[in-house]
Amino acid sequence: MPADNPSMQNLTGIAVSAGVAICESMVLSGEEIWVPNMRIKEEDIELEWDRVAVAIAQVDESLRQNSETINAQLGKEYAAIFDAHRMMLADIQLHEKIQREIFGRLHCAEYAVNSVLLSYENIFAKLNNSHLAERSNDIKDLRLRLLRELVKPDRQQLEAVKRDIVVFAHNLTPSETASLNLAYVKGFATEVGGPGSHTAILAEALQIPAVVGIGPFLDHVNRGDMAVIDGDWGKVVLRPDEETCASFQTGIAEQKGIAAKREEVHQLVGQTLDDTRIEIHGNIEFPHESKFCKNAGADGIGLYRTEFLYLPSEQDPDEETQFRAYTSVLREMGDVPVTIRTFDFGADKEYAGYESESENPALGLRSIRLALRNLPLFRTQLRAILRASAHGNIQVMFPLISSLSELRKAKLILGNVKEDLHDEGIPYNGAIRVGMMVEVPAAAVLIDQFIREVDFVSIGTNDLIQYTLACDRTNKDVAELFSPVNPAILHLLKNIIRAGNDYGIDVSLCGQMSSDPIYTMLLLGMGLRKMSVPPVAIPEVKQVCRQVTIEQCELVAKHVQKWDRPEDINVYLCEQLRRVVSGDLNNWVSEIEARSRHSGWNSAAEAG
Amino acid sequence: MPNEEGMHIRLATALSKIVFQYEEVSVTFIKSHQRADAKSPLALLTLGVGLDDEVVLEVEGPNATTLLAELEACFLKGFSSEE
Repeated sequence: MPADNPSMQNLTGIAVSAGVAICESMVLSGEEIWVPNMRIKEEDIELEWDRVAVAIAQVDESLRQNSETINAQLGKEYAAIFDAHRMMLADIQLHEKIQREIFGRLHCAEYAVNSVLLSYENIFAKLNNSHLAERSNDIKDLRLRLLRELVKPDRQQLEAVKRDIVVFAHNLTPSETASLNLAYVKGFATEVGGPGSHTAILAEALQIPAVVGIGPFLDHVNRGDMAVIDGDWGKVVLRPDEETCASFQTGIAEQKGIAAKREEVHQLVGQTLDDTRIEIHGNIEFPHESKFCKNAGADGIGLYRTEFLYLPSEQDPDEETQFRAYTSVLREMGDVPVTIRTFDFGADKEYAGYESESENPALGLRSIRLALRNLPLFRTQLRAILRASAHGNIQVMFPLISSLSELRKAKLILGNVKEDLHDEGIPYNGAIRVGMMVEVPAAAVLIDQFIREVDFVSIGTNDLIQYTLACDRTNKDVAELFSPVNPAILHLLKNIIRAGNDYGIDVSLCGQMSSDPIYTMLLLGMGLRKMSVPPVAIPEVKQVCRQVTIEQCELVAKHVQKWDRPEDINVYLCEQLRRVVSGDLNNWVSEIEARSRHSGWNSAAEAG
Repeated sequence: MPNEEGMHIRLATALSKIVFQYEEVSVTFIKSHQRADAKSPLALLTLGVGLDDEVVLEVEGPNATTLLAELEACFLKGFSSEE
């Protein structure tokens, strides 16, 4: 039920993308379909009921057709269920209840239909009889059929918005997040979700404040309510009073000051006080982000997550579309290296052309495994990458490599595509550098074998942590186990960096760990000289690099070995960071500390 | 209620269909003080009538006896949902 209570309400979730937004809210409720929660004007009630009546007629017609088809195929007894559904659709009590919501409470058609049918579902689900309880699924089916008639496609709904808004939803998929219109959507908050999910990564890439994992709250907010989303502290305030608004406004002003400070380091080189060059590259999901990277003085693109090219549309992007996307990044970045990672679908990034039946998609047919099973799709991408390689400094990287044979197969296919291009007389860079992600423990453990067969490796900490610690990063019940400074993770990282040095192969780290300045000293101390981070994090990480010496960092890394509890290590790393940065940046460290604490990365530290 | 599955969707809609043929009659199903208009299959379902539950029928209007007989036949027919 929507709250008629207009009072202020504070909510807490997990901060996943920094910044503060104060705007009108737009509520996308309903798990399956986004149901707008709108109040209508009194003069529109007849129109609104007409919409319901039309939807009922349309669903009735489609049920009639279903009934006919099934009758012809399977017989009358099977078709009878559709006739029963039609009877329920015509139910007088149902119509009365929906009318009461519209005429009496001025709810819009979608909301009225949704809430009335949901109430039936709930009644059935609670009945003390399993046969009857299952009936709630029939009602659900009717509800969804009606909603599909009533609700405009999600994007249209959002696209129609012409004012600044913040979006509240039960959940946003990465593709929904990607389709948010940044001209008007200033932030979002969701009931479910955890840190490190791809929705969270996207929010950061889009540079809008976001809070996830709040728990149920959509019933307490109406469309049009003012709301604050504080992506630094993981807070959401519904209907803030004037005082609260003012204090957040001040916060925004302070943030701008800090951002201006950060801008000062944009054109400075990433190097330590003792002149060790640290390369800081950018992670991007969309070509337009390369501009952010360039502005922030990135040394290149360390990770271009190409699967996002496939998200917004139903159809796979063809070779030409991909070629244009890759070359537009090259144009922006000039001569610096651009690392294109071949598509990484599966787990929480769904690929429309492949539906996972696995109960454990993270361990299933995803990423490079999916590519090697869908050669036409994979070859199309490799062709586009190779063609683009004639126009700039491109290197290609394979994700989720877990065995040598997988790596060799991927390279073989790359070789085949090269031959094709050669035969067709299409230019490409024959000496394109080939690398792999190290994100499966199998590859991290036997890194010496893998590293001999590539030109560079990049460590993906998100998956490496998830697989090594057997912990789903999107499950907030176990999110606190997910820590980049778990000693087992540090052991693997050290091994990979050591192998890189032994064989003279570039090692970069592109997981979330590298974008959190708290870990910068530790990583430098462990010998890492190259990182790839989201564009917003480039200045922060660079700033830390510029204020430390390698000697200091090595001491930190040595010290960290003494502890086995990640929470102790985090506290120590915060202290060290505070010690090295100069006076006027202390506020900034507090901000980072607070943000890390609230991002869920260090939630264990909070509890401990 | 003789039906093992209780008041399922097809039974409820079949009962409503019968009642609808008698425009001037009002039929109310009552189960432990909860009342449901028999013209609404959804209302009948919300009573949650299970096997062996006792239901009282309140019938008002002309031709009530014929209507009751028809309803009874419908009940006894069983109407297992697998039928």
